[in-house]
Amino acid sequence: MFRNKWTYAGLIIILFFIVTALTAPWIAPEDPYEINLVLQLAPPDADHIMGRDNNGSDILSRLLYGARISLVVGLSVVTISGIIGILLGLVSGYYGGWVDLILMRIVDILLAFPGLLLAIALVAVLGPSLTNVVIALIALGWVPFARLVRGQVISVKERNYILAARTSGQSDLRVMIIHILPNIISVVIVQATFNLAGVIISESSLSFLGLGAPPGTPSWGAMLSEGKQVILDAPHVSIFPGLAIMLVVLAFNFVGDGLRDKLDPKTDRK
Amino acid sequence: MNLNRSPLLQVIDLNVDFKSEGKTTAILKEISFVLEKGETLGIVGESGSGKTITVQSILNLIPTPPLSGISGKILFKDTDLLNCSQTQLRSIRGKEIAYIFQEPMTALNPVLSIGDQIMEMIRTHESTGRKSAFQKAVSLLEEVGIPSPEQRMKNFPHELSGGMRQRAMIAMALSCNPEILLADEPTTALDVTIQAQVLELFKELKQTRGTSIIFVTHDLGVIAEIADKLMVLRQGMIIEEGPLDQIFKSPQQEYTRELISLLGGE
Amino acid sequence: MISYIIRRLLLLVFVLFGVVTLVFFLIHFIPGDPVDIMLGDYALPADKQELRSVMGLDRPLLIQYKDYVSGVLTGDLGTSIHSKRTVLEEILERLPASAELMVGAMTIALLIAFPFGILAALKPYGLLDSASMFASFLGVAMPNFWLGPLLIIFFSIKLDWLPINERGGLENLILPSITLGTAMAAMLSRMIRSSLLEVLGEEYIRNARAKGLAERKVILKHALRNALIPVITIIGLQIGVLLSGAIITEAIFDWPGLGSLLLEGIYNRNYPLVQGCILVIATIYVVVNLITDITYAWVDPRVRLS
Repeated sequence: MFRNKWTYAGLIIILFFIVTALTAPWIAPEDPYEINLVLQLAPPDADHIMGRDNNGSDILSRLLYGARISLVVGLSVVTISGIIGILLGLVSGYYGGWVDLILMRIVDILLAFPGLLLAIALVAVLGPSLTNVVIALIALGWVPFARLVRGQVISVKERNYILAARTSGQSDLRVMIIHILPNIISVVIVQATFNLAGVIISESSLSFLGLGAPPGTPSWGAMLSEGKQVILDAPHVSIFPGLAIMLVVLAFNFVGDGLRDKLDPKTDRK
Repeated sequence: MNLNRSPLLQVIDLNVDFKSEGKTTAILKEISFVLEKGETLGIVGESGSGKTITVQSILNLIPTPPLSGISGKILFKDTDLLNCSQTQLRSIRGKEIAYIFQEPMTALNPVLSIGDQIMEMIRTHESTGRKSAFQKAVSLLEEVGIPSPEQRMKNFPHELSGGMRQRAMIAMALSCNPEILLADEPTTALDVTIQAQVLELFKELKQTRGTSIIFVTHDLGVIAEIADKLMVLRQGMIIEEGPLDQIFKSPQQEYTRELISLLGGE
Repeated sequence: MISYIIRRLLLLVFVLFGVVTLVFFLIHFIPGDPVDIMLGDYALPADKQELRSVMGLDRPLLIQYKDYVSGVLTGDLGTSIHSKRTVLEEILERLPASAELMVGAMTIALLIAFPFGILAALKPYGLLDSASMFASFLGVAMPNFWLGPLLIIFFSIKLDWLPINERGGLENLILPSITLGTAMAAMLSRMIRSSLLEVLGEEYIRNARAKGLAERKVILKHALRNALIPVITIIGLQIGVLLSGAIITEAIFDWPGLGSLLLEGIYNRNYPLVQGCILVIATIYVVVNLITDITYAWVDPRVRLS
């Protein structure tokens, strides 16, 4: 089905990630919130293969629960911002004119803030919490979708079958949803796959900076933040959460590449 | 032919294979021909017949991939171009044998001025200073009929018209006074009137400089004006060759007759 | 070209105006009374009143906006809450450290990306190309707040080669620069590879070889010059990644730059400082992007002369 074996590797990792997130309460060896100060920073051993953190909690258990946070944040941000972006992109590309003009200028302004900066700013004023991280990432996440969809709509809307649908008296909404959207959905899916990777990194970054999940939450980013405080005494705390983030991000990137090869043959292949 | 003197260029049993997606295809089969000093050889064929590959093989310009195998001999004077060092090959490329590409727009570097590109050629093969290279380039542009050549030196390829670009390309090819010019469809990309002018330029060069030319084209009409002898390629094989008049008068192959009759119809 | 620059400058003015507007309204997104949040629950009513009038929060929104914009235009970014120093002063104090880190990261990125990108393009699908492709996948996926700690564990703790935490000599700059520059190196080396690979298939490269030029000259003069044109734009966009990555990198290494200042501002609820930092970082990004876009147009004579 896919040309590249890396795509399959990515799919397997993602499947593993999702299963882990769903079954964390049953497969985790310990309660991830359990504080056990006697065993603080215990290094990895046969029973606890990743060791224990600052509070003496089992790192493996926290990692498994952390997958839930990444998955929930990733899916909710990409779904909601995707829908918003698709709708705005459709309207902007289809009608053009001043709607398009205003929307694109807003996009210009939002893109003037590099990377995470605006998300950091929003979380800074809203207050640090996972919910606010989701809100901030949605507030920015629709931009790439809107730009992509708008461009696609503009290139598609002059094609004959779309023109035929438009002139046959169908409503604009119907033309957009029934005729245009199915033609561009594959590139949107590719974009969404890459965005999932991006959102997972963003959530971890904000949590690492102390702007996301509150202290003690087993978010992978927050775990790395705790690891940094004890890096001199217990490097093992820093190793595993980062590895988890990297594998998941790598997996979504591989799958995104594979999907792009398959769904969007126009773009050049590696 | 004088038997004591070896020809200027001699191609013997040239075979070229391309490989793509695991499949090897023979592009050229047993190509042999001779080019004497001062002679103009026309190579005619439809696209895909292997005429461009034939002339690019002479200077070893085909990249691997797609090239997967090349055999035979290409003797320039006494050097086998298929079997000589890179240094030797480089000293022949441009200096002894120069190449004129079909599409000057893509064959000239878009970010370097015309002058830079001509002077670079001169200074690669001759130890001259910038100033004399500049003077030489200007006089070359003048020779190929480019008005106000000093200004044109500073222009970039996209600033010239198609005809002027091709003239500049020809000037570049002439800059080291090569013994052989390989001209690959040099007039195809041009308008009909410009085509005639450039063809006129080739005729002049042939007379004034005595340069040997291999002129590749799909257009027999063009070849009839300039070639001394003719070679018809089809599917990588020579199907007919001989002096121009002879082929036009009594073509041996059905394919050649068709090409000639098409010409009459125009 | 001139009209292109004018158009870009007009867009720049518009975008910067939008940025200032957004940053101004940021403080009004705060749920509740910003003064209560900034000064905490135990602040004296008189102090609160003073802060409110210093920041102009007791005046109508439009007046506040007008004052903020005219303040920004004259270089007045407000006053930092606790230190009572001007925000601009605090920012300027931290700017050199950030600039140092950016230059370090950029140097690392270019030093890695160019040789690997070029070598990979010269032998596509070869061993080095595959290896650098895999490395760049890792480089892009590896979060810098993991790479940084890994580098510290390996080079500072296990090998004890390089110092950690705090700014100082060149050896202090190495690990933060690698942390920040790796992702850009990964991205850039792939870009250079694909751009160069495309150019190497062009007819003018064949022509350069037909002229008898040495291969080194064909690659460095004829191919690379053309291949760099699209890469310049990517470098501009990647500087945005560097600017926001720097915030995290500075947090990892306690680097006293603009990013740390922003985070201090956030932790201390020092909103004028937060606003100032965000404004300055965004402005730097927008201006750098404009410069790369103009460079891009200037390097390509097809654009420059049209």
